[in-house]
Amino acid sequence: MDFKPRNQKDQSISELRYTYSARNLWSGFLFGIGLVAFIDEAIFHQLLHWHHFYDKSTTNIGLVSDGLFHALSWFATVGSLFMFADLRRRKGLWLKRWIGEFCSGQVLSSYMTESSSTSSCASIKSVTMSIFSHTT
Amino acid sequence: MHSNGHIHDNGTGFEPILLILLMLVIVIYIAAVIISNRRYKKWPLYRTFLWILGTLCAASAIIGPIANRAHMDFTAHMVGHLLLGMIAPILLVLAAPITLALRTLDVQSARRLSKVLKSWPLRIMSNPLTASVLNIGGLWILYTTGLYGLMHQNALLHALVHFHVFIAGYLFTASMIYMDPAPHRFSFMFRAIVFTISLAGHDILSKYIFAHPPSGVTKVQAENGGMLMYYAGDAIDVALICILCYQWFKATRPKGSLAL
Repeated sequence: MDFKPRNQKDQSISELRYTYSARNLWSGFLFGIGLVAFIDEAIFHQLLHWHHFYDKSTTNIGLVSDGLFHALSWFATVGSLFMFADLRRRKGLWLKRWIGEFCSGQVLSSYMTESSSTSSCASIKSVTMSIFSHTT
Repeated sequence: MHSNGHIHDNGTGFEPILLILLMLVIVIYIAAVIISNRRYKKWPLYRTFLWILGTLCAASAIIGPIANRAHMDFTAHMVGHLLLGMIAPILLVLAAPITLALRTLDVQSARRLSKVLKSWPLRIMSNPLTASVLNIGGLWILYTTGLYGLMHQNALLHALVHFHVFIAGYLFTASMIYMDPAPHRFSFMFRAIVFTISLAGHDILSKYIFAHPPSGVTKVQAENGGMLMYYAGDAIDVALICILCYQWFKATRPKGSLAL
């Protein structure tokens, strides 16, 4: 009696996800970065006005790092979702790994948005974000 | 500077010529579609539509109410800049004019055209790095030096700057998303990195304009214009990112399986 996996499809999925382990990592990580940057923009800039478009305390280096991070977050959001779709298409999605990297992307991103903004409320937000990402 | 001086009505001299030129651009494209449809499979209708729309976007930035307001109003100038340098190039690139030209021309002329496309000046210019520097660097020079003020006193300079904004915008878009046959291709990763840096350059410049108004622009107008450049520029660039990523998604399709 030889052992047979419960179903042939399961077997192939578990093998493929190791092949695409790096892509799972990047997709989750970049989406974490992109989502937090988006939340920062939508809630803290647009809705609550805790962060400002520009104010007197914005330094030149702050301007540059903010711009780079902002551009990166757009690419990260869109690119990571296309990678997610690609993983699904290849049946190589590794959801636990993806969510884990999603969380670390969020933590990194919340520190980035904090460091580049000048609002005093940023630290509160950063802590909330970290807690949120750890409980996910 | 804008409120008092600006008497020269360059509009009356240039406008009819520009209008005829723009009509000609549309007519040539449609004629090429009709001619090449006789020999090859049907050219998609949406491309003709995109070409007309793109030409109209470019036209609205240089003729008509937005162009007239742009002399006094920096926000209107910025709307024109977004139309001419960002939206029109994307629409025109998506209309794949080079592909249409190659299938319309006879073999000899098409070969000559492809030789031009392969030549070294175009090789340098279609490099994403060069195209980005021409596009974003040109904008930095325009808004951070006295060029913006100077442009409104000299009609020729005004036309030249607008021509540059359009051509650099087209070159940038064409170097990022490959709709037409591109002899010198770059990897998706390289294009993504260069794109991110130039988008950052665009964002930084718009905040810089917000804080440091260009010569002859009031503080309120610079703030409105800068914010418009930031958010509208983002929206258009996200569309470009989506197209670039979609092209990656299609190109990395697993071989040997049915698509999706």
